[in-house]
Formats: sequence, structure tokens, C-alpha cells
Amino acid sequence: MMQFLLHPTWFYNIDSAFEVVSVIVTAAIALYSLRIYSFTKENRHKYFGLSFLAISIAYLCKILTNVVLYQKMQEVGGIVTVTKYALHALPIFSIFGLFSYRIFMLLGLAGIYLLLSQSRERSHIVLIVYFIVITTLFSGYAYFIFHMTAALLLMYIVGFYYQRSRQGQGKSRSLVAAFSCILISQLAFIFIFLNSKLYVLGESFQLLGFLILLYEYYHLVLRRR
Amino acid sequence: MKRRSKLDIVNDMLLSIQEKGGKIKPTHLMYKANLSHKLLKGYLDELVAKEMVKEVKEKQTNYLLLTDKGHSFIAQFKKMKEFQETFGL
Repeated sequence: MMQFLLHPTWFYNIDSAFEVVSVIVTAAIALYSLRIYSFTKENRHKYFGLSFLAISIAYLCKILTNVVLYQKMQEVGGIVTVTKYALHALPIFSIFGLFSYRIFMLLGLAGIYLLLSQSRERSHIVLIVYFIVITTLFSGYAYFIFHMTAALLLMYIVGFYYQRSRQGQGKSRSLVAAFSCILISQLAFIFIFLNSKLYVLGESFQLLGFLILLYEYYHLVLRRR
Repeated sequence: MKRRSKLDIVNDMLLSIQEKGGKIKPTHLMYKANLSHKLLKGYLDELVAKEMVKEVKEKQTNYLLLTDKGHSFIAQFKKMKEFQETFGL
């Protein structure tokens, strides 16, 4: 049976509000990057924009799915199991929504990883996409596989920006902080089965990460100089 | 040395004019932007057509003036470069 995670009841919809921030920030970065692409016609900007757009779509799917799921779920122990009644009543939309969230999220993170690693090998890209699809399918039975994969990709992204900040390139410190917060959130999500409060912790760190990205975006793009 | 893109060249040209207080002689621009005469003419025609630069004549001498659109391009280009640099693209 497909497992759904326990979110503390008092946190229902607060997490969706947090994720609206994620949607806005990732969409803003995506659109600006695609705007740069329209000027420069450099593919790296297009793929960077599309990667952030995928993450934005992922959060949008999660918000819509959660709104539907919260009305159907019943809390049992450490993990929420969907009762027979709820499982039958669960719209296909919710299951698609959950899978869409996971696959778009992993595709987005993998896109950023591939861009930063400057990998141009077609076989490398095909292999990563294959593993993302497999991960998404299996995460239906063991949700933590998804969060582990996301955390792994984020570790590389954090590592990349950390190296850059050590070399004094760009303003990578804030990006290290932002992606580290998002990484911590994914690590917290892995262990939700131990304590549902980890979900709140994860969501809070995720919000913090995207707020740092929003600050950086504001500083780079919106602020008048 | 990394080859300059078309946008880099346009930005270099506009920056050269800006550094000269928004007004420059075409020959000076050619040297400052490190371009051949033929290339300079091609780019200038485009910049004039896009109203980023205006050609004026003062006391028998031709000058190039940076327009508001030109100033705006420089600002936008700087933002793009900073975005690119920050995200390591």
C-alpha cells in the first residue's frame, strides 16, 4: 500500500503557505534566467531556467496534492496510513500530484547538478534521468528514497557553491546557506517516520532556504542601483 | 583569452561611450572597444537602429552619444552578468 507521510494536524496548510514562497522564488529565478536566454541565446541559461521551473512546478503539484490529501487523511501512529475508505476515495489526481512533485523536483535538482558539473555527456544525462524515474517510482513504496536522492543532489550543489565561495568567486556564501537549508530540510524529511515534528523542522528550513534565495534574487535583479 | 560574445562587444562599446561621459568620437570608440573599422561600423549601425546610440555632428566632427536606452542596456547587462556569476553559470 502506498504510504503517505504524517504531517502534524496543526501544521496542515501552513506547509502549503510555506511552499507558496518556494513556488514564487523558483519561478522568479526561472523566468529571469529564461529572460537572459532570450537575450544571449546561451543554452546554459535556458537549462538553468527550465530546472528552476521544474522545481517550481514540483512545489505547485505538492501544494495542490496536499490540499486534497489533507481532507482525506487520518492520523495513525508515526506514519499516516490512508484508511481503506480514504484510499478508495483518494482521487487519482492526488497520486499523480505526488509523483509529479517528486519527478519534477528531482529533474530540477538534477538539471542544476548537470549544469554546475558541466557534464555534456549524453549517456550521463540519460542515466541520471533513468535513475530519477526509477527513484520516483520506488519512492511510492519507500518515500525516503526520494528525499535521499534529493539530498544527494543538493549535497553536490552545496559543495559546488562552497568551493566557489572558498575561491572568492561570485557571492556564493548566501547560495551555500540557502542550499544548505534546503539540504537540511530533505535530511529531516528522511526521518519523519521517527517523529512527525521533523516535518515541521524540514519545512521551516526549506522556507528559510528559499527566503535566502529570494533575498539574493532581490539583491541581484530587483534592487535599483 | 575568451572570445567575446556579440552582447559582450555591444556592452564594451556602450561602456566605452559611458566612460567618456556619454559622448565619443568613432575612432576613439574603435580603439577603446578593440574593434576593426568594419566590425565597428556593423555594430554601430545596429546600435543606432536600436536607438541605443545617436550620431551627431559638432563643428565638422562626428560624435556618438549614448541614449537612455543605451544606459538602460548597460544596467540590465550588468545585472545579467552578476546573476550569471553568482549562480556559477
